[in-house]
Amino acid sequence: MARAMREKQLHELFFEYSVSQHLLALPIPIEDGFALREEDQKTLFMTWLEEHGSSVIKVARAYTLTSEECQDLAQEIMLQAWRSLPKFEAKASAATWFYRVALHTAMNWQRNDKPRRSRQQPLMEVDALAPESMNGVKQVQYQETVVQLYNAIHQLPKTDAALVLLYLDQLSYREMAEVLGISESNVGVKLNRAKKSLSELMKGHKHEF
Amino acid sequence: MNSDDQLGPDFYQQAWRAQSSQAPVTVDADLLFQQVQRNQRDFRATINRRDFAEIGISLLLLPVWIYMGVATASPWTWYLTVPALIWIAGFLLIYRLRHKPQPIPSDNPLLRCVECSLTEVEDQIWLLRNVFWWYLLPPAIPMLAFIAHLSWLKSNNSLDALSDANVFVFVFILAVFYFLYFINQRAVRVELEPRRRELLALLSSLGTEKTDDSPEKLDTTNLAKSDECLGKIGRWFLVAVSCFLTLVVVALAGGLFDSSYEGPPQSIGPAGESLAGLVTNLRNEKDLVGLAAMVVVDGEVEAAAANGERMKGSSVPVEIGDRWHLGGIAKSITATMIARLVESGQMQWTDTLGDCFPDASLHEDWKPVTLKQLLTDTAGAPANFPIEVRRIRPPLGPECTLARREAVFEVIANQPEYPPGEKYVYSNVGCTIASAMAEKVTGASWKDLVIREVYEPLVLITAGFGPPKSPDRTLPEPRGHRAVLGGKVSVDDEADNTTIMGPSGIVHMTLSDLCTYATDQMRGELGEGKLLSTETYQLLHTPEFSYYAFGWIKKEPNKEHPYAQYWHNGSNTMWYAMVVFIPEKNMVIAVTSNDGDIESAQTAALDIVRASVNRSYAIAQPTQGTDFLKKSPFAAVRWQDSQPEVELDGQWFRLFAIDGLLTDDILAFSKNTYGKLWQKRFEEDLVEILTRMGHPPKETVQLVVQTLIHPIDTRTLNKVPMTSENRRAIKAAAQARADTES
Repeated sequence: MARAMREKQLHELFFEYSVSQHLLALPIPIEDGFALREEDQKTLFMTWLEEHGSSVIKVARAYTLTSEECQDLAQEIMLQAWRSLPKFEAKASAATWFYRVALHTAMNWQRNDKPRRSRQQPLMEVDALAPESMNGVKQVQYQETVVQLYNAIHQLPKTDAALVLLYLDQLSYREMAEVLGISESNVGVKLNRAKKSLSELMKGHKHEF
Repeated sequence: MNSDDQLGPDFYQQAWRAQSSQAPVTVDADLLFQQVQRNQRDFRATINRRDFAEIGISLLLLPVWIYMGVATASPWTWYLTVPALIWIAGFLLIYRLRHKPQPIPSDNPLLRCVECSLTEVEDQIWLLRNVFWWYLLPPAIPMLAFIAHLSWLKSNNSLDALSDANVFVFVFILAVFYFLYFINQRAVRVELEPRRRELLALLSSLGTEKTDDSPEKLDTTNLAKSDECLGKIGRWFLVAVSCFLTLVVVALAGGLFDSSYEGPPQSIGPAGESLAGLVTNLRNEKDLVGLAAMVVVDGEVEAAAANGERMKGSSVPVEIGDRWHLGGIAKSITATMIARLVESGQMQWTDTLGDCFPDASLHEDWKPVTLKQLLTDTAGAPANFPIEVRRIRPPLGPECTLARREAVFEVIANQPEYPPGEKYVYSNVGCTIASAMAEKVTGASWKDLVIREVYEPLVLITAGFGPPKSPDRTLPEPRGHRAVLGGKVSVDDEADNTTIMGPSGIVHMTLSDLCTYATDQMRGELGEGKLLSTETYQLLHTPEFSYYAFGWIKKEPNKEHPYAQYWHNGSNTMWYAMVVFIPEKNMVIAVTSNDGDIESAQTAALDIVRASVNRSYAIAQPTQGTDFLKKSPFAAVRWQDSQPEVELDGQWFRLFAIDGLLTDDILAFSKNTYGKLWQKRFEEDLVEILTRMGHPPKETVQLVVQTLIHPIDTRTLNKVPMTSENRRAIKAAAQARADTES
């Protein structure tokens, strides 16, 4: 529910600023002659990040093998997201919009263009917090499962990995179809195949689909 | 799993969701914003840099190229690169406009993003795969044409353009262009193709098949690879053919513009004009760059002539007073120098290598080898030094003496090629070893010894070492020429064999000095030499085995030439020289050429020697308006292997000579003078030929003939009448043959 509320706010914010026609003094591409002011952008981005920030790490981790690469890709995703922010269309949900940006960035990310680390300060910090109302055993179970899931995802083809990520984040078929640009029925077929692959990779684990 | 979470999240989803709450992300928004700006700048800068590098440099090069062309007064082919540069800049400009680089919108559906990425990658692959056509070939062709053109302009004939340096530049440019092609194709193979395959796999996994592959066959199937391979072969075949055709065109163009030298010959002496005619004819017939000859009889120049160019294409004529490289004739000069050392008691013909070099590590078989054996090529020495020795050029003098001794020690440390003293084998090494012994004994260099013992006593003021110096375009002396692909390429005035084997072949002098030297050798035979005793001269000219003496070859008398001839020739493959002395005729003949076509030069030299011995020089200009008698001593003439057989009193004979003139000489003159009609002229115009050769026949002639049936014998027929009937019969037979053939 909270997510739906925030998305509504974002839509309104974009709508409001697109009709107010504030021209930016920013080197950001102007779509249809409209753009957001810098401050509004920041506000919007921080709001969005509050909701989807952890997904940045998830996608980055799913498509990289080391923590350094994960950090690089996560920052790249955020940069792309910021760059794409002025073109955000209200007809797309924030979640699908984010995944489009994240997956596209991940698919195009080259492991050899990472020297940014040497000349760029870290843009983000990940705070490891123990969630409330979660007993220790469960927490350990979840942590183990997540590690296994990442290991399995690393072995999947890129498209299957994307589907699994969307499935694990509980996006609907329609949202998945929006992210991937394919039909919902096609999503069903491919997701079943991806889950089957994931299941085989997770063999030995007591939980089944 | 069903859609819309109707069954609630499963365990994996719960675990996944749990991690979200465990890892809240804090972002420095200001820093992120700055980074976005920086990225935008970097992206633009990258695009600008690339466009400037590719388009800007091409455009900037235009004025630079034109300025350089004007400043260096380059030939017109230099400017062929200008349209190529305009083409490259224009092509790139249009291509960039049509494929404007834009960051792919990141918020498009994944399928759309992958398609955009694929299009971008395929554009790049197309660009790099076709780099040969739009980027490499346009400038390569004018550049290669310019190099070829420049080579030709700087050369003196078409084949100079194919000299080593020009071919190297040609190949170097091709190599540079191939390297550029290679790195571009490598980028396609290593970077772009894997990326494309990855994107195609993504597309395929997203449930779409790319079926509209471009006709360039960008897919990486085996068929495409084989097509690509064939394409590569085709391209480089095209380049190879283009280069070959360019070179051929240059060579042919050069050939068209290579005017064969037609300048007049130079001559001196009573028979100089006649010899000049022969020299000119032979030079033209043998296609020699320059040819010169001198005949000295009784110490006086009877004839001397020179015709041709000092350097091919220069139009600077060779002169009688020019200096010529003598090659192996140096061997007799070295032997004469050492003979002087022997006569002065500094050396003995029986001196051995073991005695001379007691400290050297000689092979046992070399120790008893004598000075005499070394100078007569009977020591078992190899024909030449190893290639590593032939490559070095220490300056003549003490440095060369040391290097020569080292090279000699290398040779004599190993077993001789064959047992010493058993047979003659021509060698450039034996004479060099003998010189090293002389240098060891006297402490002087070979060069100084030759000057002191030969050049100065005989006052050979033009004699020197190596090729004659002709350093600039004024060409004060001839240049040597190398025979390449049937043509002639001039060489610089330093091109010669290594100075280490100088004693065997690096001297030069004029024809006059060469004749002076040979005359002294000849007079020495008669007891009138300036340098040595008669006995020593005779020793120098006496063959040790078969026919070879101390740098002289003795040709024993025979029926054709009833007198002994002593001769030697020499060539460093860029020059040719021959010297002959005939004591019985008190005659010295020297022939030289600045042409490394040894076979042609040798043939010309032998013709000159034969003509000189017979005093049958060609008359340069036929007497105008002379009606030669139409007579013949033969009733009929037929040909067997290009040799005439003649009918006399109903019997056929092989013809050897007419009035002392050898049939071979008469035929050679007829060939030189009349070309294809030489046989017809011999049959029908014998009087004219003999007259032009300086031997007009009388009413009767002397014939030397050989019977064709057993018992075969050679007869001298005196007073054979020259009749008109004979000539008419020959003419009628020729007419009948012509009618039959037609």
